[in-house]
Amino acid sequence: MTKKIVNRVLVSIPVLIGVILIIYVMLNVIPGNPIEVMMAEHARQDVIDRISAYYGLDKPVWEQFLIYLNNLLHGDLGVSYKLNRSVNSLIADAFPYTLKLAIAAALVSWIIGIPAGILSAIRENTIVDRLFMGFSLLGVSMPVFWAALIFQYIFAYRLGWVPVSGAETWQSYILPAIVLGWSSAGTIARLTRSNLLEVLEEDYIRTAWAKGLSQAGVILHHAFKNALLPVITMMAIQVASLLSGAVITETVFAIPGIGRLAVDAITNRDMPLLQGTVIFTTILIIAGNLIADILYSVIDPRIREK
Amino acid sequence: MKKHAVIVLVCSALAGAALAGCGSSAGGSGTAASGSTSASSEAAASTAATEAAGQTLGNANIDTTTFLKFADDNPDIVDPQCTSDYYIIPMNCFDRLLEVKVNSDGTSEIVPSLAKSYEVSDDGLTYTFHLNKGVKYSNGADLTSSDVLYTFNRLLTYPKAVNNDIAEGILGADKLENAEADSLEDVGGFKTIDDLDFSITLSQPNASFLAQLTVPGASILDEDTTEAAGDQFGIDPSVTIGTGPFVFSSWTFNSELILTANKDCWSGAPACDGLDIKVVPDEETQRMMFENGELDILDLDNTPSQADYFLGSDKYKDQIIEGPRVGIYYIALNEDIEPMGNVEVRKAMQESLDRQSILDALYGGRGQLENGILPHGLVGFNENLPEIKYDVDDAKKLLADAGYPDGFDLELDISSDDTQTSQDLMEIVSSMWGEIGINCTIKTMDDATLQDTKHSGELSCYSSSWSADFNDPDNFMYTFFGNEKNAKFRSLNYKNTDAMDRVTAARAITDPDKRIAEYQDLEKTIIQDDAAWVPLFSKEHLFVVNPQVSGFTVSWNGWSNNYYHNVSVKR
Repeated sequence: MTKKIVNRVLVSIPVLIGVILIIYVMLNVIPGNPIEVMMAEHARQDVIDRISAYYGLDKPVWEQFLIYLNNLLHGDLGVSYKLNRSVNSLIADAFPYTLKLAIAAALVSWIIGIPAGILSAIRENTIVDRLFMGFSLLGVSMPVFWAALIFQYIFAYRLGWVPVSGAETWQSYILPAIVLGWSSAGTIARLTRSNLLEVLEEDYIRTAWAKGLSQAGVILHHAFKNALLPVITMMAIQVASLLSGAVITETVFAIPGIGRLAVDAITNRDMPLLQGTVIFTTILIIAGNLIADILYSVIDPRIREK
Repeated sequence: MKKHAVIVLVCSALAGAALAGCGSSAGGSGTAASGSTSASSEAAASTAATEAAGQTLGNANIDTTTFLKFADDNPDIVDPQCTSDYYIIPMNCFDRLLEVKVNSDGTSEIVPSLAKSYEVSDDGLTYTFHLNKGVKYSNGADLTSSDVLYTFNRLLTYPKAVNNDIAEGILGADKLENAEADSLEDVGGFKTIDDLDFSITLSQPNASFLAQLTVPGASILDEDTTEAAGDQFGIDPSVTIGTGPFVFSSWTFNSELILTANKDCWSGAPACDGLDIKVVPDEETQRMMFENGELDILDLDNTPSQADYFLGSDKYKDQIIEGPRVGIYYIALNEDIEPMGNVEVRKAMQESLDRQSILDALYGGRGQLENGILPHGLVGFNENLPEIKYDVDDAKKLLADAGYPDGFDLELDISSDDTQTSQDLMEIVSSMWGEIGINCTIKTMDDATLQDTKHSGELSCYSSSWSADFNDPDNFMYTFFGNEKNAKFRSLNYKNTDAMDRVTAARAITDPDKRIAEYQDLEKTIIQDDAAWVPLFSKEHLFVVNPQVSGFTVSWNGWSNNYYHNVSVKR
């Protein structure tokens, strides 16, 4: 087990280096000086040159890359050109917001998705099944920005139950968590349902019924545990992707998280910040996949033994 | 059983991470996620300062219930010398030597501020200022002449300063910029007479110098605090100290800026308890917050998609407050790209645009047509400038005379970052020019590429706007037509060097009337005779204001930000 984890971590290193290299090359190939973009109409060539030199942008690209790598090895992601703050602290400040939103959204999606999936499977092809599956289809297919605006309109503006936007109070997270969670709940419900249906066909389930176990016993103890395998994987990956920032949700609800940071960085050609957020989210995704793998082998002895 | 234990462990680790992320040490209790966020702000408040653990810089523990609330963008930096966009902090937490006052008839004048008076030498080179006595920064330090010297030295030497042009006319400024000297006092540009009196000497007379001292970038800084703050000045509120009516108290990045009233302000305490500025990127969200009472003032320039809703609403039509946005929308014509090098072609392009229809279609007619360079509201605006007529037949004739009876192909450039309105503008222009045979292709460029192409003088034809930084024609004339370099930098490539030399020379005319007359004559030459660009219009700046707010006026200039010294709100 430990060996496997160490292996996986080692394999992630070249992935990370590849990502760093690709993002660096891509950002330096596209034309446009970040300082020029930031100053927009107020730009003056001498000021652009001076500030570019201050950030070392007048050096050859390979030299800039080596400096960047060296700083990176020391855990320093550099200073944002536009925001004048260290990228480390920008990410550290933004991440708690994204984390809170991601966890809340994941909880919503699990709490809705898993029971909905189980009920749909047990009551396959009944009105309950149709209702839940329709509901989850809606969740999956509804554009997040649209759902966000509709929810905002009804629950914040019309009914006034929660604030329209912001991140100051826990109430502010209710709407964004539901909007985000609903869309993943759909995926989870459908996945749970189809896996459970598959498992319910298995011989050992028939045996369990034959032993005279209660429905709850059969479903929860025997079937659900096996059906849960792919769902767990999905959940881990989903949390990782939620953590890399839900750009649209964060924008509509004015939550100052990682997604907003990354979008601002792209628009402004703010290379250190963009590189920083990409590297950070890459690590999260790699970690998410790693956790999924570990969970998988914990739950399924067959994988562990391999 | 072991398996279950592991799952439970992993799940609780995840939940633990969630709570830890909330920054609350008390988050371990079983009260679920609900309690943890409010706990986090308390935790941040207790540390109260700059540690990375808190997302808020400054004091987060401020009750903003009675504060005036409005939305704005998240600033990059609020250091007055390093921003050319985000003026809310410079305008409200700092003061300048002089300020601009708008009279009821719409004219404006330069009035004393930190400097109670000044004299100008006969040769127009030396300005002697006398500071008000007893002015204190919000941290209790006294304002002295040496702070003023420090402010100008820093403008010229701080590597990230973008507003150095304010001080570039001072004698010896180039030596500071080239790191050949450290202080204007060593090169003859600044002389300290005593703690409250000093003089500034220019390298050549510049009639717009006093106007330039009123811009946010010329805010006077406290030498000791600013120097000690280093690059945290303009980032960390606790070290961003000025003499203004508000104190910059807290900045939650990408979320909220809080300014509290400076009750001991030398120019009088402000009319409200403070300003609570929310960062809300979405326009629809801003509207709902305003209607919900979560915002007191809504800037319709920041929420153009919501403007029609408010302007057409019976409920809100009496709550609209407007002021001129002193600035001009124009279409740049690149004289280096054929056939725009031909003056008759450029005149045809001017005459074939129905500018009033464009203003009506895009901005509901809320603005005024402009016919030159200096817009309505700016010192030197010429209401007698002949109107550029809309005359398609004459335009066709001009094109034929120029040798293009069948028109020509033209590339119009827009940025992918442009608003929908700016894109619509170019669509309309394209179809209007199509009427006289100009076959336009609209090319959308990534914003970085567009800026780069523009600054290298190679952008074909684009629309943009320029709004006043300071109330003087120089701010418009010199920026675009001061010399070949400036004209190329905006892809105008204007060729009349005689006119450009006169624009530069006009800076040194000391008689204000003669100077304005010269600018008005130049404006006619450049835009009406040489047709260097197509002037479009200037716009009104509209706000929707909650009835509980009083004293709100729109800032005189072209900025988005306003002064809030005299604005009050009833709760």
